[in-house]
Amino acid sequence: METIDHIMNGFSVALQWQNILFLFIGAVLGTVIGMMPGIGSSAGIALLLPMTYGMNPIPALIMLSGIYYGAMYGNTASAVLINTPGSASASMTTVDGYPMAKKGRAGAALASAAVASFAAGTIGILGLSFLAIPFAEFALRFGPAEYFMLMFFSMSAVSSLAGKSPAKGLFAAFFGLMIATIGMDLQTGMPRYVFDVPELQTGVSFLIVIVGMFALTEVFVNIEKWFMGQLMPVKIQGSLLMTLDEWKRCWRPIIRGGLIGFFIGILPGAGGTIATVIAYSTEQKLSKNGHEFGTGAIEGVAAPEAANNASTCGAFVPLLTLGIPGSGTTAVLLGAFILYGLEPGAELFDTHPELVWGLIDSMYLGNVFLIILNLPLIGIFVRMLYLPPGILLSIILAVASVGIYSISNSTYDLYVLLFFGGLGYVFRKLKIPVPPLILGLVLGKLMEQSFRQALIISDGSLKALVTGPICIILLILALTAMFLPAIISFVRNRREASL
Amino acid sequence: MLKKFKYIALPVVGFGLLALTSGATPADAGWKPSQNVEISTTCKAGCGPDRIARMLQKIWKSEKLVDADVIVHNKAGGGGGIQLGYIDAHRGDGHYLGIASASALSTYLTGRTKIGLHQMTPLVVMGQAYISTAVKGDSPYKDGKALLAQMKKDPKSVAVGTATSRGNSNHMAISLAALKYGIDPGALKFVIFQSGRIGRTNLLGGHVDAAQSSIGGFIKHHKKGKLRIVAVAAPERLGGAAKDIPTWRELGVDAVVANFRGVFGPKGLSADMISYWEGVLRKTVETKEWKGFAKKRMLAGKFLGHKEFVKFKDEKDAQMRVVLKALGLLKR
Repeated sequence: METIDHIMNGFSVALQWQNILFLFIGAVLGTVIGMMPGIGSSAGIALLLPMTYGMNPIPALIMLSGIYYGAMYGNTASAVLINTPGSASASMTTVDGYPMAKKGRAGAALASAAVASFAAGTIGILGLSFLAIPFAEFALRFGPAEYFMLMFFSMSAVSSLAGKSPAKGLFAAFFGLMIATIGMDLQTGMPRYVFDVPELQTGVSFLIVIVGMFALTEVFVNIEKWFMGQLMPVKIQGSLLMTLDEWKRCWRPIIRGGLIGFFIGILPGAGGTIATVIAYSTEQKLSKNGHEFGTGAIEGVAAPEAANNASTCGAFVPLLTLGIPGSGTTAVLLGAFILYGLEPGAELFDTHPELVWGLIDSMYLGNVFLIILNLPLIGIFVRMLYLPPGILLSIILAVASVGIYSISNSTYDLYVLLFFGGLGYVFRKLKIPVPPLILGLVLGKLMEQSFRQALIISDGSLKALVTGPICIILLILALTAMFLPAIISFVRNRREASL
Repeated sequence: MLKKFKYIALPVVGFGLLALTSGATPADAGWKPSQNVEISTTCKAGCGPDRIARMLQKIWKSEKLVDADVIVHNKAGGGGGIQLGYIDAHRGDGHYLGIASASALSTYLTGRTKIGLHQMTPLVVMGQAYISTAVKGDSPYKDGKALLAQMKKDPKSVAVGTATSRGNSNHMAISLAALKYGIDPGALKFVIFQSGRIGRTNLLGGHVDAAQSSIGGFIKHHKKGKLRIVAVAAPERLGGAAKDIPTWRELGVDAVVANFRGVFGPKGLSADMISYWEGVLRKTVETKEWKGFAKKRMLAGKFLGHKEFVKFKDEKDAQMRVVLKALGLLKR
């Protein structure tokens, strides 16, 4: 079969020693970049792009994709260890990853993240290799109405993230939606809640909110605990890697998360963050251990990590097949392609098959590299937690602040960071869950704009939102997600009562 | 004691000589950068103006056109206001440059920013990305005029997608064409998308009937027949892959709108500084590297020096005022 031939050819390209070297350099650089919040893989790629001008396109592109993967792994490491997601897409990983670290299972969390990323990446790459073209065409059918229904379905995840008090969960979610409205409105160009502050015109950056409400809040809470003499040192429990039981628990979330992530990644409007949110909440609903989510369930780490990695592959689909980048980072890669004189699009498969398959196969290798590179390093990373709190908390504060400042060199961003750190502390004290706020904030902008775009096109008719198979399916999924838990417990109660 | 004196004497004399000579410059050298040069852009790493800035950085180094280190800063936000504010804080300093596009004028006129290109020193225009209007490849609209005719008949029947904000060049291009054709642009149905690529995707998927973008964004899809560019807002036909695309002028509608890419400095630059940068940038556009870059990004149009840029800016400002007023967006 021709595709298999191509894949094998691709490997012969990817396995050339200089390409492996560049992949290695990229992966290491990427991991370091990824651990700092703020400097994301897209900025890293854009900044390193000029360095690659003199190079052959194939090793250059391979190095850049190595950076991309490395960064994703680095994001996870800091999310699990110090509750500081290195990028927005790692924020769901903190929800279960950090509690696992506090329970002494940091090694297992990192290991499951690495394995999940690898496995899901493989699923994603397989999808990319064989299903790219039909999927890309399918993705075109997502217009504003379909995006709105997708976001609507994702919002139903609030029910699983709310924890014990639905009212508090809803409050947090709506608060997040409110924050999402700050900024220049896209359709009318009018400022909303901007208060004449120019920095607010583009809204509140959700990365800053996340780093504030996770990392900084954690610092404040730990300082308080230290003063009250309640700070417990972390003890590593058991093996650094996963136990057999943990392995068994992981494979389903990996497959589910991987499929969800790949598909969401294909959609140009939705990115890794949305994929992780949807994967996390879906996993919570479907998993046997759903009630443990939020306190350190390993599925809660595996699912979003799988989704994140798979969505990266998904984002390549529209890039390679239609020449339309599926995410911000692939947009930068598109620029790289163009600079090298290559026109990504379906015909690139015909004119430069060795390049396309070489790139795809280097992604396989990238995943392998990450496992090889990072599994032994887990032991070193985990040792970080043994640092005395004064040093560790200061490091977290420094890493978070420098990372955020590096985005726009703006002290204003640091004030916002501090504000949300304080807000997160208040939320903690009032026992208001933070993940629904993140959900509202991340999904809010796209949900509202899609809604209005759809209504503008339909001249105000709400019917547009439920027209077409995609919208209807998403609506059914959303209603199911909202009412299924209630129905199940109702049925279960009836069954128990009759026994 | 005297012995130690000789150890101090030599360095002191040495420094003294160094200090005396470093201040001296030949009388006719004009101005040259004496510290790092900064180029600021209005958007994140990887976006259009940012790529131009980094290309300048690269060419100036490889062709040795500027004898100083060049740093690129991303000062995104505030509709360009952050970048403008930053450069405005360095009035009279020739080391601070900015990449401007048409939004440096329009965001001031719509009241979004407190200052605009009007309060800066325009240096040169590197090129112009003319705005084109496209429909889906299998759409019944064969050229721009057919599209306008339908819009005139029933403005609500055509959904036009544009990015990235109301009142920018993309929005203005079709609005100006409509205005010249006798349609009130305020009656048209505009859907604003978050970015050019989301707009393109929606057009390809048939969710909107037409979309606007600088021609570089559509040309690839036009070549493959997935999209049809029905008109381009250029003064005359563009060559290459775009040679079969009619201009609005040819169709009887006098609309020329481009998202120009220019370089500017803060207010109060001396004549020496201006002529230095004009010279460097003139040499830059002559290099093979720049020509290749401009061709790929479909950056067309003549290079405009300082005086021509000032005139160009005034023309563009007048044009924008007309369109923005018709759209109800003019605030100054």
